[in-house]
Amino acid sequence: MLMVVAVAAMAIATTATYVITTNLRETMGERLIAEDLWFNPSGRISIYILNVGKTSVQVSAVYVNHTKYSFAPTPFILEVSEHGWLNVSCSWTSGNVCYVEIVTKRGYHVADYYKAP
Amino acid sequence: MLQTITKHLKRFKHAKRGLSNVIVVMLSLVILVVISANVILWSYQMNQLDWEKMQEDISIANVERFSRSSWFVTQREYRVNIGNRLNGAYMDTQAIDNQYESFIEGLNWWNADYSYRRQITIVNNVASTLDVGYSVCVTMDTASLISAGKMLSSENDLRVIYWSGNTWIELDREVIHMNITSTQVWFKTQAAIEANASDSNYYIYYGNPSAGNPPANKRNIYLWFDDFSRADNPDITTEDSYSVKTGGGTWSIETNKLKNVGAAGDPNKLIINALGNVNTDVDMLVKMNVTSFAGGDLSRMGLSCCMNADPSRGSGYGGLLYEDRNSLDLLNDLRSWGTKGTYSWSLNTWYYMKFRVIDSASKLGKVKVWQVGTTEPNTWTVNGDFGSGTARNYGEIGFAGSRTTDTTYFDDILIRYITESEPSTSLGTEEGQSSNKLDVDGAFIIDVSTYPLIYIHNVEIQLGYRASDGGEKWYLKAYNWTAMAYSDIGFNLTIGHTPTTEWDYYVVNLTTAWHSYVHNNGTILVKLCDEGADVNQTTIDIDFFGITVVIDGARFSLSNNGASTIHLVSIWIVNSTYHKRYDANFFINSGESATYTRADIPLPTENFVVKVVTERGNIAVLARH
Repeated sequence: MLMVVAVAAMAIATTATYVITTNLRETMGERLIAEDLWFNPSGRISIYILNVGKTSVQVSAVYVNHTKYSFAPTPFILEVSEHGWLNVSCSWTSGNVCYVEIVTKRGYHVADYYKAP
Repeated sequence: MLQTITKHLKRFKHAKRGLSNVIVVMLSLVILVVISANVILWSYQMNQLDWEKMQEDISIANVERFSRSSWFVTQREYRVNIGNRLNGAYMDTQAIDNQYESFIEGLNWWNADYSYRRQITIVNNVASTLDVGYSVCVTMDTASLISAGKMLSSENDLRVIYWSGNTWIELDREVIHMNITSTQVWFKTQAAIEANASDSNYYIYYGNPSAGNPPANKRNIYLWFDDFSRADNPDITTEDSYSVKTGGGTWSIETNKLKNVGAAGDPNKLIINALGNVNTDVDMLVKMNVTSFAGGDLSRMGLSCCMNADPSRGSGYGGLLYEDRNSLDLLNDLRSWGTKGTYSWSLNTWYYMKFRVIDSASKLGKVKVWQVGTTEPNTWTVNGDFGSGTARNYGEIGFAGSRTTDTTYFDDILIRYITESEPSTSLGTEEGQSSNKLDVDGAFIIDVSTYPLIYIHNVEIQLGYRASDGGEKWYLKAYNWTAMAYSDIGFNLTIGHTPTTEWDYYVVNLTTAWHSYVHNNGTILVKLCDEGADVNQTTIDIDFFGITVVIDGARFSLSNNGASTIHLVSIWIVNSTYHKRYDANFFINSGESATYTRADIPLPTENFVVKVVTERGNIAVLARH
């Protein structure tokens, strides 16, 4: 009986460890950069994102001046080395400085200040 | 050792707590391995990635508009079509440096005994390749040449010569009607001619008062020719070329003629089996003389083609004198009679018969008969079809004999390939042996990996040269890959250039026509030639000969000041109205500077920012104001 309990407990522990560390590995492997940010004349902000990490990334949220905005396309998923435009539904004013933060589903984030032309 | 382990295992067999301890320890080890692999090692890799990214140090030193490629010069020796190379080599024409290659005018002449020549151009007028061995005819005015003392009336000095590209080949030729204004000269092509293309490698030479007998073997001019000028033979089927006859009757050679005496049988044919199956359209021409003619359904004689074994060997299409002395008919053997025409003919009289089937499957045939010694009619006596019988494929060809005791003589059988639209021929102007010309061409290859054709706006050819005399114009032409000929149509300058004895530059722009002159692989063939033969033997020195392409591109000067190689993956051109990204794939070694040329990146005319992005995620920026 003790043996069964011990083996079962360790099997669960092993599985849990595998799941947790795999998730941790993917989180650690995320890297992305904003190649370009364009204060688009159409009124929105377009961000060109390149996945330079070792795992795919999914953008889960975009904050402009700490306010969350919707974006397109959704879901925005980039495999390793993929790149593409992310259009944020956020109006901007010429001359203003925006703090733009991009957050992935696993929690990785890139952020920078951009001044609208 | 092994004994100890075995001993412990045996003990576990009886101690279950001990076994569970082992399993727990083993699984603990698995957990440690998973943690190490997934977390520690991966963490190390990502740290290394971040470290390498930090080590990168790329900068953009300069960005400039790039509107013209470097010069593309020939990488192999020029081909001298007319004239001669004096000295130097093609390498001397790769830069403007007073190192030059020299050419001298002259004519690549076949035989110094002949004073004149005219170039023949053969144009293939069909949308398929004209196979080698086609019999072509060029018409020329021999009467005026003979009266001017330039050509012998004996036709002995009228020679047809083919230039293979490195040797002269004299061809057999047949001259029909000498000393008239429309003498026909027949010869056989020596090379295939692509669809709607031309071949100008044939010449007629003349002007040799002591010329001997010319080559005039008609077997080398036509697909088949036989004048039966040989000893009598009671059975021609003993000859390899005519070894097959079908049906009844006899075929013999008698007094240098082919003789057929008919007999029962159907079809009665003599097959020219030396030709095998002739799988293309042909013209058949023969002289016929019927000396005995019973008349009626069994009396028939003439020519036959598209013969096969269906229903029996010798079955084919026929053009026949048939039934009476006023009929010229088309027959599809053992299947159907076709169009029946009328032609009144007489016994013991020689007639020409010409028989043609274009596209056997269409069942259309043409035949005409005219008396020897009279002019060939311009129209076909019969131009119709072979009736309702099933159409035939190409096949054997030969003679059709009578099915009764008629006697027919045949002579001078001539067969030649034919197309629906015959190739046309033309003669160039007369050239004397003392005439001086130069014709040089070379191959230039545009680097299409750097300058893709879709980004090329224009192409320019530049020639730096001097001439020993300025007595004539010089022309630059390029090979038009569509028209398959050298041309300057569409060039901005087509009037030529008159050089001085000093170094001159002759530049032509191919304008929007450049697409026709540049092959998909970037090859452009350029020719330098003079305006025509003259008495001055000019020497041309070429210091530079090159091609440049006009583009609207950009050139980036980049520096890698970091410790690792940089891989550029994208370039951005940003201005107030657009942000444009271009994929890139460019490596710069550590510590090196490099120039990256892109024909597909036009730079804005106003302020702009250039960004380059590396594979590791670093960005270098340069603003242009």
